[in-house]
Amino acid sequence: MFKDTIEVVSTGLSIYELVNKSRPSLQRLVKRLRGGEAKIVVFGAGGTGKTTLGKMLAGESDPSILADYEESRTTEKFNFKREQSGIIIIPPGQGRRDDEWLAAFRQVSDGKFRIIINVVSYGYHSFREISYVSDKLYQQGMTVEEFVEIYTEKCRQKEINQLKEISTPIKMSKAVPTLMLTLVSKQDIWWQDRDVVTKHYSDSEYNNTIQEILSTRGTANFSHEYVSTSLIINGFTSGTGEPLKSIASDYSQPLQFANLAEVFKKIDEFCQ
Amino acid sequence: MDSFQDDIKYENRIVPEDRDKLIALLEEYSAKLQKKCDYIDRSLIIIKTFLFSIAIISAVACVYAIAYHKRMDSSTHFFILMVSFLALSASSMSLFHLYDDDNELERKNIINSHNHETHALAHRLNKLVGIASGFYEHVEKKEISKIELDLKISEAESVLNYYDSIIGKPKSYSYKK
Repeated sequence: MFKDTIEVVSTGLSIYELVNKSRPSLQRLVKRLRGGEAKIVVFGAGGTGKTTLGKMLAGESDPSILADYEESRTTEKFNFKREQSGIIIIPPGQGRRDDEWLAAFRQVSDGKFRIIINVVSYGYHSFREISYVSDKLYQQGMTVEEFVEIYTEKCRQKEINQLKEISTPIKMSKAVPTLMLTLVSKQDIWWQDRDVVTKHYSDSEYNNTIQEILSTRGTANFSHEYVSTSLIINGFTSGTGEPLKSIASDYSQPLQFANLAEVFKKIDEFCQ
Repeated sequence: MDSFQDDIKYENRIVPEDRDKLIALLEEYSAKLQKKCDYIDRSLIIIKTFLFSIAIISAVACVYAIAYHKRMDSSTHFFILMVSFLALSASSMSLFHLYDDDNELERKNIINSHNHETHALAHRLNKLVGIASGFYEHVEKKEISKIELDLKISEAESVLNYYDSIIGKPKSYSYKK
């Protein structure tokens, strides 16, 4: 479960090898999946790190390379590097692009994807170009901390609502078994609150929705795991660069890579 | 185009009152890029038609030279055959490059030769779409205003998709002069 992931992380430090060892495991993944084609769909709200994850899974991007948040206009497709038939589909996360989600939902319910990754970030959703004081949640005289609290709270609710939306096609999915990962990204921002974050996802409305899917599909047809990492270590800033929350003082790159390796490992285990 | 930087400075805060200006800029830059894309599209059609004509004329000349070689002296026959064969090869290869979806280079050369501003326009419209989308998500409160903004963003995105379809989707819209 999610808490175990954090425990694993806190023990692993010489990690560069771990990442390099785990990444090629995706090659095995392709062979193991039905029809020789690995189809992964990545859901998540805008600004949680879906595209960055897609690039990393496909082997296109190194985690040490910082990438500015750029909103995706349409569903993105990444092919596994060095693979013949692996594909990662990422519908854009913004609410106004729900038609792209509906198309992906149809594919999920048709059983086109056996691996579903839902990316959440404890409400730390990046936003583009807009200052936090222009956000509709901001009120005159509010401190940055107060704004971040209500902003992330709203985004956490959005994450739960989106999971409920995703749960419908997953419950109907013909893919057997369906494997779902909840990836809690942006560890570098919330690392000091990790107990709260763990509780939020594993002992709350979020997990209740996961349990509903489990009871509908049955444990033989559906399995779910929590994993967590920081895809990039960047802190939390507004769209115009104002710092909203800094990187946790006890978070480091070895921790990030350990978690990343854990994510790859879980995906690999899912396919065995 | 210089007004763009004055109208929206990225380092400045976008406030709810900027909404109308944002919509006006989206419309302005969508129309500008649409116009450029139409021009490029027409240019590509003209070039393709010209190359097709050359290919057909060369093929006819080739066939004629082969069929009626007895009526010509050997040097004339050889000259017509060589020229038409070379023209046919050159036009066919150019057409192949233009129609090849993976070959952005040829199209980009044509686009660049016609207009250096097109990529800059696409970059700026993409940036505007990002700002407008952020405005939609974070600033806009009224549902009806959100619908209007959504429509304007969608129109701008369809122009960007049109641009992508003409030159092939760029890896990024980053633009450096």
